[in-house]
Amino acid sequence: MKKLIFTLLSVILLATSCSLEKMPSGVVNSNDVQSIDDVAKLRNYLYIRLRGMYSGSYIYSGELMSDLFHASAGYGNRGGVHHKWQWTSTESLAEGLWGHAYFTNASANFLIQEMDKLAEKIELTDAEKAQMDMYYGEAYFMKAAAMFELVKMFAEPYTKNPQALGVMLVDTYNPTSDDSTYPGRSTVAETYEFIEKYLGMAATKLASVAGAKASMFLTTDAVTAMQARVALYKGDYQTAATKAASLVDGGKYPLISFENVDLTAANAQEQVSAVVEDFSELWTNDSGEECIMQLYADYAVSSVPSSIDGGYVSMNANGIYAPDYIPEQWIIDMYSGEDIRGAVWFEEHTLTYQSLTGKAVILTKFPGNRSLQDPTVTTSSHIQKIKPFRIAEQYLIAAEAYSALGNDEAAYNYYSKLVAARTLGFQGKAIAGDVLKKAIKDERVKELIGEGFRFYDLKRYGEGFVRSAAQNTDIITGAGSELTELMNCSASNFRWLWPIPQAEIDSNPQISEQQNPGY
Amino acid sequence: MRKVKFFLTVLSLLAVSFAWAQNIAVKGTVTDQNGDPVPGVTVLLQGSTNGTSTDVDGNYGITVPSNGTLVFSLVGMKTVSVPVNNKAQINVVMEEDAVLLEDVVVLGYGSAKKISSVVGAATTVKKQVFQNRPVASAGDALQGQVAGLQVFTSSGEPSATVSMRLRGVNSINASNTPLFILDGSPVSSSVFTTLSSNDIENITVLKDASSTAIYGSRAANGVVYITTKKGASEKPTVKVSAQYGVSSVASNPAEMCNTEQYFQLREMIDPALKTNAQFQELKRFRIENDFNFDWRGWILNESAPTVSGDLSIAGRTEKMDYYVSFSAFDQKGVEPESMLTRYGVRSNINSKVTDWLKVGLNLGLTYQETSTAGYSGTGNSWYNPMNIADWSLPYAVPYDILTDNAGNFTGFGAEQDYIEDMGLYNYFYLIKWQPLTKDYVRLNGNTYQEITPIKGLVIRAAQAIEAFDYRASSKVLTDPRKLFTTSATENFTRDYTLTSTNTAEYKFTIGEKHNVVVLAGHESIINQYEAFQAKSSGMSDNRVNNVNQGTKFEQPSYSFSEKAYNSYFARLNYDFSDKYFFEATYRKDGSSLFGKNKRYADFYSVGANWNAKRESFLEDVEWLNKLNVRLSYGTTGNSGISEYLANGLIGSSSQYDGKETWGLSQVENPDLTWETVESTNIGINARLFDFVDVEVELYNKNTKDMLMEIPYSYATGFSGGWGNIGNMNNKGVDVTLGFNVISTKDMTFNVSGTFNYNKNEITKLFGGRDEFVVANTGIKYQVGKPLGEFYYTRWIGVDPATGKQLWLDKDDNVTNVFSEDDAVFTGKQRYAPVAAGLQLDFAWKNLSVSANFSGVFGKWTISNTRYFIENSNFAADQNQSAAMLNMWQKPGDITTIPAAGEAIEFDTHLLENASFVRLKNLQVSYNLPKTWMKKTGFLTGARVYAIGRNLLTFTEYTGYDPEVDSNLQLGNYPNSKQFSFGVELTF
Repeated sequence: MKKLIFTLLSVILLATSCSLEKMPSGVVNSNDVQSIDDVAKLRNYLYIRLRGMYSGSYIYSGELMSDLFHASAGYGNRGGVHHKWQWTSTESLAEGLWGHAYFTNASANFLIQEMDKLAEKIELTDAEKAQMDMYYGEAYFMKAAAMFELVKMFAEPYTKNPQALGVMLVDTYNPTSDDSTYPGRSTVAETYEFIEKYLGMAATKLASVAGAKASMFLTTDAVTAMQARVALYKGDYQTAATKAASLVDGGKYPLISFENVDLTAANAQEQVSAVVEDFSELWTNDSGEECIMQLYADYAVSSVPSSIDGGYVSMNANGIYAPDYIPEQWIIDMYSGEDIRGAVWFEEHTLTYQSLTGKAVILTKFPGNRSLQDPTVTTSSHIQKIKPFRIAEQYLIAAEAYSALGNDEAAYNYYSKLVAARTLGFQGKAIAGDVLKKAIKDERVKELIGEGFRFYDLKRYGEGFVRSAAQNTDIITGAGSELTELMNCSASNFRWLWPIPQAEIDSNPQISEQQNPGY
Repeated sequence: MRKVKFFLTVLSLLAVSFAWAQNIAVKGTVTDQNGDPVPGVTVLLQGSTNGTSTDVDGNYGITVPSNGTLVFSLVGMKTVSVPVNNKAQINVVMEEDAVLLEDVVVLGYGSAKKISSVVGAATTVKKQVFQNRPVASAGDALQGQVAGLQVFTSSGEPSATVSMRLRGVNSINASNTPLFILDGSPVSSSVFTTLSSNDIENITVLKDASSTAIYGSRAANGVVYITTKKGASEKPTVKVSAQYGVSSVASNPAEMCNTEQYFQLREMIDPALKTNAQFQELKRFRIENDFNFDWRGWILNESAPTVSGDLSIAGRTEKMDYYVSFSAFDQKGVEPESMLTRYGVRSNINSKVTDWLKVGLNLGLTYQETSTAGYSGTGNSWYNPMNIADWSLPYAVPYDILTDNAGNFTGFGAEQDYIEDMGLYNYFYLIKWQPLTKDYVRLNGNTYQEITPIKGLVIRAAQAIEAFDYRASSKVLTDPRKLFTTSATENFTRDYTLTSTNTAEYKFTIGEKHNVVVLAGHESIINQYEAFQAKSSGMSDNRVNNVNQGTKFEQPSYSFSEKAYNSYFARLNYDFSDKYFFEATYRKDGSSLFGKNKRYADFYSVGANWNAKRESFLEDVEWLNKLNVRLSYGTTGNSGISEYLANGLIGSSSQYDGKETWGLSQVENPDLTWETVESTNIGINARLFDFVDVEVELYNKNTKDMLMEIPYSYATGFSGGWGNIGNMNNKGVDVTLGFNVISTKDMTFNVSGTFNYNKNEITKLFGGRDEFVVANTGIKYQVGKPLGEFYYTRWIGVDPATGKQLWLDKDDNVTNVFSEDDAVFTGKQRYAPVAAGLQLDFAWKNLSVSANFSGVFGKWTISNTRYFIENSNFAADQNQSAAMLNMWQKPGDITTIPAAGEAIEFDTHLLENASFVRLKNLQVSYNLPKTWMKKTGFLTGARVYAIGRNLLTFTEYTGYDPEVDSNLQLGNYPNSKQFSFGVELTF
């Protein structure tokens, strides 16, 4: 019997000890990046980050904050905090963008670190070296792009005070709980220096990647477009003008244009229709015309960005329109009857909010690319492919920069080319000086409405804004109220600078005394 | 040795056959000390299997050899042996067995102990508390029963589990749930919804380190030890019971605006509406025609049925005992579609195979079908049933409104699929076309083999499996309005935990008075979880819509996780003359959950118990019937965290250009390790004047190496990472009092109460700082402050001059600008520091009444509900509380509701006192007279009873249910008030 007991015991004891080494399935250990293929996957992910940064509420919230829209009677307080300028230091959008940008930066730093390590570890072929060079360039660009979004949002414009506080600048991947290693805020000037440096490095590394219409990946043209935009926001008009003009003049990204329509021709109507058709396709099917870059999206593999539509349409399955935000009257008034944008990007509808109904013109610029949503759903999700750089913006950058440099002729040249393309039968008459400056500003609204520029432009102009008359006071919320319809937001309002997220203030001793004023 | 046994058996058989020649018929009556007949006593001829048992009147009859000896036995009575000596009538008086009656308690591994010898702090709750409860979760019955144990049922969903906390909150981010042990093996908290409460023999709650350290790794939050029933009497006992009841919402929710009030409110908010023709016409029509729809009544079921039935057979023979039961339980919730149906079987069998080998199998198998109310998990969705109940506009109706040609109202037509008045789909329409079924098969199996090779040594191997297989099947059908994308989804989940425990226990005595028990053991646990989902869409026909029949197939989803533990442990018990008891335990634990540098940890405890009554100087003190003083100190661990937190990870993200992408997903932490709780416990139990039982325990617990998600600067790319930083302290007192108020033959009345006060304090945080705000949550950790004290900006009212809200800033200045930076500690806590329970048990002859009250005090919660129903910004779409009519309108108005359009903030005005007292259980039962039973010839007992749950709630909280264990409430499924009747028959 003793034998039996001991056999039993030893068998049981041996059988029951189990290994404590467990790894999750379907993921990779972060210190196990082994090959060029692994690195490529890390690099592809940076584009997902970029797409995220240029989509959803990061784009439309700025539009709701500015002077473009009124909240409708049934907006349900969606975006209300932004529209009413009531955000506080714990604002989730600010924290969202802050986190998104820094994670993008960290992901780029990690990629750079792993590529450095890989280059030491394995012998690379020339082709692989070239491939890695491109990845380095892309990683540099992502860092610059991320910091640019932050500096626009969280800091004073460079033109106002370059020595004001900018954002935290991070060059290495080092996730740690040791809070003495965390950086404080650099100055605006240092931040721009960082952005320009990395864009310059990106330009070098990507020099051989030629631009192509609607490229899904970064090209040398995309870097130039970014350099032009950064320069404009910085007030470096010479660079802005040169870079933007080079893209426009390069001719690789022609505008869809009325210019060549011969109104006297027999088929004038057809020619006009063809332009209108092409112009609609720009968003309806994301044709990629005029786009220096258009980021990848494919519903079939569930890789689609968030909608940049801030509830401008909201049509339900019963065909009832109930948008959250309705363009102000002045927006509607800006478009002439011959302006293709007014005709294609806006529609008049009867809007219904329970017991309240009324007519208004709404922004239908983002009808939604139906191939990016469930085909069986009849209503639109308003999902578009993300277009980080459109050539039209470069026309406007060139115009504005030249005008700032006092070269009204060149400024008018770029301005009028865009207007001519957009306006049927445009008969230009040269303008200059402040009239031209005002016209260019207006043109930015007309062309770029809904694409996430307005708030930063207003901030850059430093003039404040006043919301003005509604199209139809029956169907907006708080008609006559200074909180919404007639908000008067002065240039000195502290909320022009977004709050450094409270979570950052709390976790980072270097930044705890660097909150933006007012929060 | 076997040969010897065989020989003996043959001999005894021979003896029996030899004795048959001189048989005699013996009869008699068995009574207790009071002269009452004792039924069910086993009467056995010594050394044989020849036996019978007494009937309801205590009578028995048996034919036995005239020189034999009769043995009378019954659990709880002293066994009596009487030589027959040719007597034809043998009457026996049996005495209660004081030793056996004293409760034994299972403490960790090894054999059970008498309560008076236990060194640690433990409380046992008996089966009477659990039986016939009209809820699926037996855990609900523990509320208020054990001093120091807080139990909350946070949802009225029939399949909801309870949350439990013992002696305060020990951890911020790791689990605060006790370790559950079922018949010796660790199980998950779902055991309470799996187990039929009628199968429970008792539940013991182990509170201090001395009793829990042997469980080491996972015992930091205490141990809840569940023992299921086993067969006890020799005569098989068959029990059948059935119950029927109804549920309704146990609440007194805020009063909402009626139609007239609602229109009035809208005009107050937006005066322009007074001249808006459309609006005025709507108002006239709805008010003139008395539209005032009862949305709460429409969406909630106020008489949801509960039906249950149980059947059990239990008994024992010389070599084995058995308990076999079958139970069925079906409950509908008050919210639509919510229900639970459960069928369970349990078979507990122990067999003494030989003198030295004992084996046993406890097997529970449960099939459960559940459905949860659609959208109920989405706090702020319009379609959450509780939001429909509150938010729906009173003038709206879910029906077509019929009018004549002149536009006069003529009545209601069909129910609308789309409620035009509110621009919402009809909830019932939505759920009708989106059916979802969920079911579980759950298995709890324990086997053991116990060998006693020599006297005093028990070697035991136990194996357990806890497993469930979960299936969820959902469809989105083609609906007449073509709202949905049709689809079919199938979910498969399997989870199992295997536990293997091997122990050796040796008991010996040195001299006469030194009793020693040594235990050593090893335990391994492995858990695996695997889930798989397949989905397809685009079916066009509701008859052909299985998951394989869609036109478009989604990528299947899959997940897998695994964890393992290896442990070694030992315990030493020593007592001197049943007067002084000492205990020491040690456990070494390893877990896959932690970083590779710190995977193993050691836990230990020491404790003593002094049975003072046994001292000669107290023996003669008559008023003192019992006195024990206990002291213990030890450490336990907490590993209640998710798998893989120590690993640095890269995961797949969305494709880009059709290619794979990899993103960083987690920071590596090779030093991640156990949280440790060091605890000290001092306890006194006494019984005084043979009337009062008193138990007082003082404890002090320090949590060390607390797992926290340390916030990182976003500059690192991450918002935080896990680390073992932070300490916390809980100290408090448990008091249990029991009074035998009346104790006569016909009438008993016992009152008992439990009380706990716990003081929680954070004593160390990360990075050397003494405070940390968790952004956007109203939570701040501060050294010296308790966890869960609300940290909010102080709202002080509405400025009568402007209608704007007023707050106090950090420096106590009044301001009308809200800022989270002005948040301060409010002195109000999310975790109640005080909990108490009161049990009243009254019996008079065959009638018994018991009532359990349970309450927590000092519990606060944020009413997120009020953010929506007291907020003029939402009034256009959502109904508002009637209190909104007090809204500020003009200078001089004194009110708490700010002017129209003012932003409502999360500040102290939403913070409400959610302390409550509930009549958790009220039971009245009547045992039908025994004389009636006798006439039936087969029944031995019949009982009818009525039981009520949550019949009364006392609270200041304005929302639906104060019991929800959360810092914030919105759209929570409230607890139900239940009333049931039942019958229980014993054969």
